[in-house]
Amino acid sequence: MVVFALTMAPFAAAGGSANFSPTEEASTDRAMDPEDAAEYIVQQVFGGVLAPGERLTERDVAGVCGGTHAFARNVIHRLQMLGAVRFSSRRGATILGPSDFRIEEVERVWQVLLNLLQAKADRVFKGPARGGDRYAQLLATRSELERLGQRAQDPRLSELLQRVALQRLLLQAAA
Amino acid sequence: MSETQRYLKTTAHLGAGVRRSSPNLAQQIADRLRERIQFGEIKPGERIREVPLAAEFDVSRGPVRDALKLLERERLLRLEGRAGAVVRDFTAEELTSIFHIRADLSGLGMRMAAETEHRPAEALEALDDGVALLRRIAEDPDGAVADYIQVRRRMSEIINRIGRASYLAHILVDFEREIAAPWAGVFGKGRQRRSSETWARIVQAVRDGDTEAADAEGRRVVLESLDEILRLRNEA
Repeated sequence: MVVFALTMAPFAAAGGSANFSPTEEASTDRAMDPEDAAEYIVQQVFGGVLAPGERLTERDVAGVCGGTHAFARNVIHRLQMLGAVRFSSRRGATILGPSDFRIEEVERVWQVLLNLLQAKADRVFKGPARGGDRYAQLLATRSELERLGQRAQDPRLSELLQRVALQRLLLQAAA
Repeated sequence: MSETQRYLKTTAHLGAGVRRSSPNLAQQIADRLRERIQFGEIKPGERIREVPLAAEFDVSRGPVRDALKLLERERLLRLEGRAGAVVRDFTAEELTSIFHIRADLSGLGMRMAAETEHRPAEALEALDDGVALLRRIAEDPDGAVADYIQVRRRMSEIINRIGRASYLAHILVDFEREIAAPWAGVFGKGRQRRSSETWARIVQAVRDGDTEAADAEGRRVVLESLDEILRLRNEA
């Protein structure tokens, strides 16, 4: 994959963690956290710099975030844990895309799990406003799921829903 | 070849398993350890040491360490110092959370299979054969837990394939791996008998296209397991 027109917009400006700034840290691993770098990659996908369904190599990650290949490998593992990346022996890591899962099925899973969380929390999920920046939607969704998860005392369900939320938005972005 | 092995072989093409080709050494070791945990040979809280494993698999400690890291990412165990790992144990709250999630997803998977218009005869026959085999294993005093689990897992794969539920299958496989250790412990003969009857009702509901019954039975089979796990823990 070739990364075109890479804009290193300050990560914090889009609502991400404030302690990661790729422009300043690109030359060194120090102070870079793989979790923040993984978030930055997700943000780049929603920003159109990287595309759902495309391969994501260590070189791509290093190109976007800087750092060594070992660091890039950690970032890819983190992306896998978030559900943003899948591995296959044939293609290696790829960003989740339309050939991985049917969006209709992901929507049904999302709805079933959301119903469960709402019942446990005894609260209605207030989704983010439609349209606009998908990454901002993801952050708002995560924060609401976190809140409901605490109320339901079910961090695991909240965590799973946050993963499904990300995958759902990635597939929507690809559609 | 045992009856179970024959069933798994003849139905392999009907499953919607999450597959991987050419596993490396660490993945092969992780596969073996995962099976031991899933089939109850290694129990929750039990320690796994690197050195004896390296000797058993005739490899250096590197691939064993990588295998343990892989299983840690799957939440099956937690690494302990430099020498090994401990198989994860669960609180009742964690188990309840995971089984409630699984129950709803299991219900959805059965529902999707039941509402699909095209339910291939070959897949339905394989499910009938699976029910018959589950019943035989449950009635056989020597029937192995591992056999029961593998047949049941294949039947889930077939049902998810019928319902084109690959995303669901993906999530359920992750959960089944994670809770394999406490789950394996409940598969006594009584539980096997009750579970095989619930599976018979699931297959009937899918065959009839009865979405409500499929959903309800899909939940029931999971929630009954949870009840059994919690009951055994209270007794212990």
